[in-house]
Amino acid sequence: MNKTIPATEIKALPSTERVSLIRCRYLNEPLYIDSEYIKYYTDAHKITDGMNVLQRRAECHGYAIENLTPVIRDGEIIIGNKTRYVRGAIPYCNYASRYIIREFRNEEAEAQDAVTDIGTGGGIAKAREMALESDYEFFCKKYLITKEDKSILKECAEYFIGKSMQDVGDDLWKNNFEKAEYIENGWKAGLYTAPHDPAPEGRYVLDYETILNIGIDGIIERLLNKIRNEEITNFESAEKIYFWRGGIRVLEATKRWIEKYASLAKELSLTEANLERKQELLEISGRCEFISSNAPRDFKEAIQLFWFIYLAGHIEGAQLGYSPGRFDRYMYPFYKTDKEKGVITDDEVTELLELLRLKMTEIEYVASFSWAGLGSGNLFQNMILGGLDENGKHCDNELSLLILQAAINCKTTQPTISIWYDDSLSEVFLLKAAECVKTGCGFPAWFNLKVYIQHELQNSKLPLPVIRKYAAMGGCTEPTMEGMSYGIVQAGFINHGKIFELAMNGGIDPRTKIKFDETKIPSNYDELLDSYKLHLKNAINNWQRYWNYVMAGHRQTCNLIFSSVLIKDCIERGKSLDDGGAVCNGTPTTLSSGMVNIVNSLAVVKKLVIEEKFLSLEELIHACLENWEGYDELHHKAVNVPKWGNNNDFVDSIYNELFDTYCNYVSEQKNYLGESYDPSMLAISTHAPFGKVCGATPDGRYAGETLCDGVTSPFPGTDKNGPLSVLLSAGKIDHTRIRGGLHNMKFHPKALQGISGSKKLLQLIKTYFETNGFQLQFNVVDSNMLKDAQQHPENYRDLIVRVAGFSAFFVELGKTIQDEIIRRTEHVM
Amino acid sequence: MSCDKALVFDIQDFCVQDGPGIRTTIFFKGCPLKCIWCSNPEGQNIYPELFHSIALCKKSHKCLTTCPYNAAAIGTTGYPDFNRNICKECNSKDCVNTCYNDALKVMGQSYTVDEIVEKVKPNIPFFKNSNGGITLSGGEPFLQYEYVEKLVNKCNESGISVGVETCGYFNWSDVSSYINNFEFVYFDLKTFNEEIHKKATGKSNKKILSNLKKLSVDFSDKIIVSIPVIPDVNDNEIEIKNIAGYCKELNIKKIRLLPYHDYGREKYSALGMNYKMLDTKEITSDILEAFKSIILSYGIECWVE
Repeated sequence: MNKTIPATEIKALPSTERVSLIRCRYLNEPLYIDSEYIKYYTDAHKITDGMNVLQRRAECHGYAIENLTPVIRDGEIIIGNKTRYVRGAIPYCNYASRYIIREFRNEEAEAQDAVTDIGTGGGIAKAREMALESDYEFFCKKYLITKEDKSILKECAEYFIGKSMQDVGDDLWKNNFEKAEYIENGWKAGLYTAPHDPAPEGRYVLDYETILNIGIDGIIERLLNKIRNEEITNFESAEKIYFWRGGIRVLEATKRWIEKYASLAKELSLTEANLERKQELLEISGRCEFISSNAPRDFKEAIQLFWFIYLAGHIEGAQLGYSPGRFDRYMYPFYKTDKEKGVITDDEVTELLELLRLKMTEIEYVASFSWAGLGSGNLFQNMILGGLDENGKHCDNELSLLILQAAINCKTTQPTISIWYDDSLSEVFLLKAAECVKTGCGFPAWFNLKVYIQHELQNSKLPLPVIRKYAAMGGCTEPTMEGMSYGIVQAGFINHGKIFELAMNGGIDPRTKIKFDETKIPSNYDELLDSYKLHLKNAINNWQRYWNYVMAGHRQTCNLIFSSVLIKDCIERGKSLDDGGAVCNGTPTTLSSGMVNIVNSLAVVKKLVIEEKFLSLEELIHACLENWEGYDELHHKAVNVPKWGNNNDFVDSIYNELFDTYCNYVSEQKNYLGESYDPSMLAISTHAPFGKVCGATPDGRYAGETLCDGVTSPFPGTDKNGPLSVLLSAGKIDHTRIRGGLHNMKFHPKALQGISGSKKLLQLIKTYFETNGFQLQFNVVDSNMLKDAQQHPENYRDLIVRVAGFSAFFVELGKTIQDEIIRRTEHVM
Repeated sequence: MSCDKALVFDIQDFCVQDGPGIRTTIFFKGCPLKCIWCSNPEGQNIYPELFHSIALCKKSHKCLTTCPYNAAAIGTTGYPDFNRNICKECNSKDCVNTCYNDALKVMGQSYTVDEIVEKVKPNIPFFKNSNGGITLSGGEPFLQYEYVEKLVNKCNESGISVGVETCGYFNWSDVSSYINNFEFVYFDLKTFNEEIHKKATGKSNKKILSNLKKLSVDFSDKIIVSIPVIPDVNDNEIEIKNIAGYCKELNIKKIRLLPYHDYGREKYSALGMNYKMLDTKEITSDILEAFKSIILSYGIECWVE
């Protein structure tokens, strides 16, 4: 057969030999657990009993970070590591230690095996292999750990029993919260995701702009000033001084940590035989020495200081979705000055940006087994480009282009890249971003800035210029205000599928027989909807209230001091993040997944029970309990009722109603900081385990089948009118109400081929965003996905193989043709 | 078919290779040619046809019992076989409605002009931002020329730009009055050799060449000649030179090359038809590049899709 499809459209290789080598080193490295940080942290914790909580937290983190062993690897220009390993994770016993102890007994893994699948390839396979033939042991199904570290870890984990954030929080809510049993039942039934305690931090962005302008000493000076001008007159003013003093403690420790890197670089230069590398090490040492106190003077110093500050924040807490923010905005002045002076070239900058990608990819985390499965091991570091400046002018620049090029050149998973979309962004930038999409890496994701601006105007009521300039992304798809927001902490996810099951079955979970709130078994559409709303409201509000107890425990144990001094207005107010120091405290969200299945289910009830009177609701519920067995005809009918994603007002209006209801319920409850909770919808990987615990639903979904992902993505196979109709449906909901959400689209590479393909992609985004849609991300289909489509055609009903003048769905083609297309897709990619 | 309704077998949106911008393509059913390489065989006959997808069929054989005319039987492969002569006359759709695996469908649905316009209207914002619109394809749209005239006029009134893909085999007088209303015309030229054309498509190419000539008198700027590059039919330089020469003579400025693919092969068996293009040789990208250079040397813009 012919092979007329041209070779890889987007050619991409690391720009230098150095990057290649470091990337290879990463790819060949297994995952490790490093107990060093937690050992020092525990040592400090043991001797600080009775200290003020802010001071104690600062002392423990400060003592730990200043004692970390610095590591500089061959070829590195940007230096600084979270652990002693290339791919190392810190086990934060101070957050949660019981799961670690359970892990020692391998209990949790077995308990969760039933509902969570975890990645097993690549570095994980390597770890498994190495554990068998060395002194390392295999831990948490993913990591290697030395015997020595393992015994340290065990000791630390045992020490933190009763003292960790989780235990302090548990003690608080289990003994005081009237709905404690509801929450525990929620976990058993799969109404909620597993406790989030092992890695609750993240989804915020530090104020890099300020520290790059005034350096660490500049911040310390501010803290000293505040202390000098404060006098203790009451408990609050005393707390302020404890906070500022704690800030100085962690910043001084961070300086010492950086200085150790400077010394090590110097030391290595003495024995380095390669003269070029020797010189490089001396320069690195000089840079680190200078920026340990001072503001950076050029791009190289700035990127190194950025990295140390970013990393120090990452080390302080068990982070997920901790993000660098608007890197192309705050780094641009350094780039521009250096370019004007002629002291740096674009090639050098590109190499540094590729190295930074590798640095961010090297960070690993360890959480309980169930959470690792949900997050797929992803750290959700999100670098967002483009957007607007304070005056509303587009903010993309030459550096933004280089960041995209670096991402194309150096394929790594982290950080993910996003685009703050505005019509005024330059064409060259948009085309470069489209080119990056076409590499098939899955990013950049596209976000409609206009919608988020509206969200913040409604919620935080910040001035428009501030929102424009500092709008950033703090996690996979959750926007936040850079350098001034509390983290988008949340308790985990709520399962709409389970809520609907409770509504259908009078408040009893059919799988576990656990009884939640008793409701009447519905006999008509309105009763079903009302019952769903009641269970939804209770599930949300109980979950939020539970989480407020946990956050109170957080304040007592894991309050972030380093991050606090780098978030406006904590220093000014003399308050840490947990005490309400940040400008924006309305960031904690309540997340849910699977709503589309409920919308589709209600559409089926409306159509078959109410309109066509084909059967009673009772019978339909019975068919679901029987998992459609013996109900072939009914199932076929249910499947063929119009579903969400076809620009059909009959269904889309149901979505609108549920969406508004959800948002209203979420906002009713105040978070721990006294602001309303913010609604958000995404799925990460929760839709799979959530689906697993749910019985059949009236939309035709079978028991155990995965639920719908994202906010607005249609359920696989139910969008029969093509991608434009999907977007027309998605554009109907009020995206300004939620903080974050996503919409997945998949395309065969042929559909986006060439410059005209890129332009069509951009036109599609532009049009969708004109309807006030919020987010789009694209899977440019790879051969693996097509192979999956062969196995599970029902999930790919809508995938069109796009060839001029040709009409066919992929899944309707025969195996041989499918194989041929898969082979060709491999060529294109 | 009355001219109030057209028989259409697919409406597909975000079509990116059927003209400029984001497009929705309407596939008309029925074609005067029967090209042996045709990748849309469901577009050939101008009547609704039963389409049986082997990939989705789970051999439940429900169709055997629900067919009121006993047109289905178990074939040698275990999948159902259909007596197409009976199916052709059937209006019941019972087998389709009761196939719970969605393996059966009827190819060909009637649409009034208003129904098509209403269906594509929500896509107008996408068309506007991309200078896109709809493309009439098939099958051969001009086989239903009276309907097409109404459709193109109605679309233009509604602010929807329309392009057309034609095999070129139509009566000039049927379309000459409104051909100006299309934004562009993809015009297929398969081979310059009449004998080969007859053998490969079932019809002489005289009418096609003459239509192209007539069309080019006033509208040469709207024409993009499409050459499907087919093994052993036209994959030689002489053919390409002949076509390019003719286009040059007619002042046609654009030619696109569509390399043969066999993605449509499985659709033949789904329709109970036989695929005739077996064991063909390869159309390599080298060959395509060579053809492209030839065409460019005539001063004609050319690209491969």
